Amino acid sequence: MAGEKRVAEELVTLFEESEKELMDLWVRKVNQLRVMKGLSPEERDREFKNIYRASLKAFRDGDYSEVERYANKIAKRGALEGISVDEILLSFLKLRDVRMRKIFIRYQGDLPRLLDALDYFEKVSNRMFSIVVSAIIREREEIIQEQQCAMLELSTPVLQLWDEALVLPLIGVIDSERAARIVEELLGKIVETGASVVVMDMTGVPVIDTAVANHILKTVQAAKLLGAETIITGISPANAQTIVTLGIDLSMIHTRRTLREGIKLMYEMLGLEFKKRGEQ
Amino acid sequence: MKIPILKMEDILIVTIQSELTDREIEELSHDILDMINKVGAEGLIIDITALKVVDSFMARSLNAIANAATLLGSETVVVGIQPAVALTLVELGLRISWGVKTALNLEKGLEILRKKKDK
Repeated sequence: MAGEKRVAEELVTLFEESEKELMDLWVRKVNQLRVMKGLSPEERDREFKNIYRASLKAFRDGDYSEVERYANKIAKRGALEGISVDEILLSFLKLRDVRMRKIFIRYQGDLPRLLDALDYFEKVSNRMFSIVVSAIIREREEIIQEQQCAMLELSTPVLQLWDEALVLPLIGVIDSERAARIVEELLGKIVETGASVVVMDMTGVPVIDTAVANHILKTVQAAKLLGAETIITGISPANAQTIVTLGIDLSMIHTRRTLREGIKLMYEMLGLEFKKRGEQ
Repeated sequence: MKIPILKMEDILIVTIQSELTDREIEELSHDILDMINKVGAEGLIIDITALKVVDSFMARSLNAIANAATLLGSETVVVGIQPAVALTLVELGLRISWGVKTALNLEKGLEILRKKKDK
């Protein structure tokens, strides 16, 4: 343990002494890779210097918090500014290469000390690398999750078509989570608008299986308890066949082939009729 | 506490203001049917806007009242079911939609009964 501490101190001194040299080398190598183009030269120098210092802290006393902070920051910026994962990782690996070379040069005549130094250097470097990678992955996962939420919200609009009529165009696969959301949103809207007819259009629903049919039946019943009749439209021939084969009873629900027919029925149920002006 | 049963022309209106015990529900259904018989009501509205929870006994009783009222010639509308209550009833597989009509609020309930009468 004491040996390791000594190695750590030696390495830190080495990196501190040769900071200017290594930084220049590193920046030049990264430039050769043509990565990090998004940043201005001054900005990049500052960032690189910060990263360099943060990693020194990790070498000195095994404190990775600074590295972690920077990794998160870089991951966030990378996602925002479209810097690819490749670029970030390659830049980091370059710093490792540059330092590794320096270690080889420093201890070239002394194999045992070289091995000791490398042991410690590899341990810390690998840890830092994994921190950076996890930060990037975490960031991407967050983005994916955000987008999923946004999609869920976008995919279930409830539109008010007339004073007491709602239209609910369903698009995409309906799983139980989405179904629960749809019911909730629909019931809320029924209360809000006092709707008495709901047209549910299934044109955009690719597959209707027992689970989906069950969700729909529940939605219809819940709407009915709030005094709203539901008309279902846009069930494709294939889906109709599946429903019949599965033995699901939709006979208590009004169904129409297209949204247009459904809306006609809706007007009828509301006691409205629409005709051309001047027509008798 | 006795639940008041209001008569408006030939429609009876019952507003349930708080959670009822099973016994109170029994009593209420008794009173309602008696009242229908006495005044010859053509419609019955049960308003459960204030109920946050409807258990299976309550749901079953509402069904029973509605069916009995229909036998006595009075159409029943349950109004003011809360969205959360509606969801629970559906999840439990309890149907109160067969013998009973449902409406969003008292106003719409009255409208349904009026329409029926006009026909």
